[in-house]
Amino acid sequence: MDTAIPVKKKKFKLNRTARKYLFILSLIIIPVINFAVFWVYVNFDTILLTLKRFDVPTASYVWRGLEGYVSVFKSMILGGDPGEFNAFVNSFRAILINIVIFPISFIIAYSFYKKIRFRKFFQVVFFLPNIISLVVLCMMVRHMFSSDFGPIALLVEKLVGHRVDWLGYNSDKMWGIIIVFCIWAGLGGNTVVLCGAMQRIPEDITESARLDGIGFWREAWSIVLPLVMSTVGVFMIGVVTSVLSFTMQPMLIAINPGIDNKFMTIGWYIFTSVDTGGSGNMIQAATIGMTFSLIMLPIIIAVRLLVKKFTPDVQF
Amino acid sequence: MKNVKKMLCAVLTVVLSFSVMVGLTGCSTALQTEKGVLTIRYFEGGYGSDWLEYAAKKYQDEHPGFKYKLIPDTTITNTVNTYLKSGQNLADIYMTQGSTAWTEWVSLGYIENLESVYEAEVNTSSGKRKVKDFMDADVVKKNYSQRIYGQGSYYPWMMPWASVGMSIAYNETILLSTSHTTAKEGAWNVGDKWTAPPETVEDLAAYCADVLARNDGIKPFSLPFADGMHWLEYYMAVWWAQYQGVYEENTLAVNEGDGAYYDFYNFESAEVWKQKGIQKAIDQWRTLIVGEGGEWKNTVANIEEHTVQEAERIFARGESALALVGSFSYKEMEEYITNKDHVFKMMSMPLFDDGTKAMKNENGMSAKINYFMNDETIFIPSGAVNKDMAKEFLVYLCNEEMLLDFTKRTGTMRPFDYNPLEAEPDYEWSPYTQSYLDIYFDSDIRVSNYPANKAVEDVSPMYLYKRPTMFGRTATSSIINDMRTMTGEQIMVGEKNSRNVYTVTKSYFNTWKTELGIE
Repeated sequence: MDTAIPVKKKKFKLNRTARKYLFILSLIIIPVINFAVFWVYVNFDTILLTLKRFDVPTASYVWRGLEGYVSVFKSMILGGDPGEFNAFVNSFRAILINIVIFPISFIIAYSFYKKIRFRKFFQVVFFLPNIISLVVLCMMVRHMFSSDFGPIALLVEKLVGHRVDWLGYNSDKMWGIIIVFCIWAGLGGNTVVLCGAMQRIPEDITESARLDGIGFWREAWSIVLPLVMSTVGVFMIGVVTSVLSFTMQPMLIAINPGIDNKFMTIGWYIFTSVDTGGSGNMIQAATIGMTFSLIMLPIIIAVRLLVKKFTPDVQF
Repeated sequence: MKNVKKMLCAVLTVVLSFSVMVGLTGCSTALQTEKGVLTIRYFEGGYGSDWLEYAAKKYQDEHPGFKYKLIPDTTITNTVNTYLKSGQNLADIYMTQGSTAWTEWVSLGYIENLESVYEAEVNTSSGKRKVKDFMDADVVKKNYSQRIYGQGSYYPWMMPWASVGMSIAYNETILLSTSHTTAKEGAWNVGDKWTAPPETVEDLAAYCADVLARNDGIKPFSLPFADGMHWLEYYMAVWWAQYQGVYEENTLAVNEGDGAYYDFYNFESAEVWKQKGIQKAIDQWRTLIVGEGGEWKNTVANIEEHTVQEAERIFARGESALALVGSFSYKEMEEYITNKDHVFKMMSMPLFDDGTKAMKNENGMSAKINYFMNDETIFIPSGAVNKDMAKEFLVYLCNEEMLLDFTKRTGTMRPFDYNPLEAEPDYEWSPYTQSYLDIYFDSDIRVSNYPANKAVEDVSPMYLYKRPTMFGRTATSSIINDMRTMTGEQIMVGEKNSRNVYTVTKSYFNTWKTELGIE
């Protein structure tokens, strides 16, 4: 009787290195696909779109090269179109706003760090705007400054003796209101970040400084600020990039872009263009967005390099 | 430890797989319209949902087995372009507030030819009629274009949704309690009460003065200059049409060859922005709302801060006697009416100046012209799953019975040849809707922003694909601001005004022509 000898099947097994790479691949594959589709493809397509125009007779997108960029440069940067030029210039107000926000945020964060009385309460008060919808906040501002029933406008009316019209489409006070709002609404987030950075400062450093007789403000300037400089550096880059995203606050507070886009920003301009749906507007919006990014790119890189130079990472 | 690791690995795998599946559902076709279920995504605004729910239910009762899904969407007007471009999750029917980009959608093959709908017969009070014959003769042309410009036949691609009347609303209770402070020969004496809304701009200016003379805090106008400045254009269009002539020149005011109102919209050249009717229309507003020092007059305070809704509320509270409205506005302001005894109505647009030079109708009387916006549209995407079903339903909506129901439920007409006042003589219309219907049927001409005096084949691509507006490249807000210090002539063609509308628009005109491939 023949007895079959069972053949032991060799189990397929990846070697250790292969398994390691497979593991890494399984972790990064989704983010990579996400990046490729939603960043690389989308941006590549946008850039391509700016080099084309919709040709009605052939119902297709035809190549037009840099024509769109030249046109946008003339109208937006050189002021050929006052509306686009104003939107371009207004966007840079974001830098001013953030520069004002920084020292205030620093002082507030430092006050919390120094454990001032009622700091928990103030922390909540300062952070509150960050957890309320921006639409609601902007509506509140409009209501506060409304000439019909706004408490601030009515108070000013009592003081100056005549009605004030600060939210009109040609108001000279509108930018003031937007800037004050942005500063108020922007304080909370920055304060929390700076607070976090300050909490990391080792107790013995500040204690040693105090033994040397350092004062309240001197400690802030000579000890705390240098030790949170890496956070400040990130903040500074954010100051410059905010120009690109400055959209919602003026849009929701002013509502009307004003005469020659007095209150408009590039973000708002792009939003409005895309909102109307036509491909001409889409291409114009994409071209303006790209032009703006190209202008901002060297500035952001320069700021990044400066930040790297002047805000070295402090190890402690 | 090894088991914990294995378990952790398994849990992570499940979570990751789940995340991927959830992510991929966005790309899947599972959410697309179901075959056999008519899906309608519609703008939920002033008309509400009742009329569509009723129509779909009734159609279902008459067609057993018919299934439908109605998706109200307040943002659809702005998002429909993305739906069409992506071709994903397309509804079978879209009802939007309209888009000037629809001819481009046709070119790109995004939307369905509605020839069979227009050719279908529907039940009307005068028997069976084709939809295209039943529809308002001017409006029907507005929805035709070639599939690709310059090639092939013309087809209809859109269905008009509603015929929104744009006019001035008045508080009748205030009007009837206001006395004349000046006399008008053969019309009224000082001290007489107003009995009817003003018929000319001169009368309207007199009414404004009389309202102010009441000294009870009521102001003549409530205007929405925060975001509704463009509304002024609708009223300007009427004065412009009265002055210029609608289909052909009004020789009482302009010369032959100057072009009629509808000639403007064919945009033969930038010269159309020189039409004097536009200048006259601007001057009418100047007469009514701009004071000698460039300040706003005859209005409530702070109009530059008021949105359309805020202006309506002020009017609803009885703080102003007049407001700029659409036929849908009453629904928006109804809940803010503080004095329920007050009656609100729409008036036929007054004649420019004293009315003597306004265009005449065929009886030699001043023609009643009002603006009706037919931009809100219904269409079927070419990628829809249930196209035939959608077309049948659109035809069904054009039956007179359904049109009457639409008007009863929404207070707005659809641009078809039916008359709810005659068809339903016993129906109790609200005073506001009644006044709108009176304007609709009393109007000699219901103007719109379309070259209606041209055959479909003769409509310029400049209109179809570029749609420049009354003020070309200049924003209405700039025009209104300029209106405070400049006349209509200075704004439109003024030599000392380097940024006059004609000059600015002319600089773009050749670029538009080049882009359209026309010489």
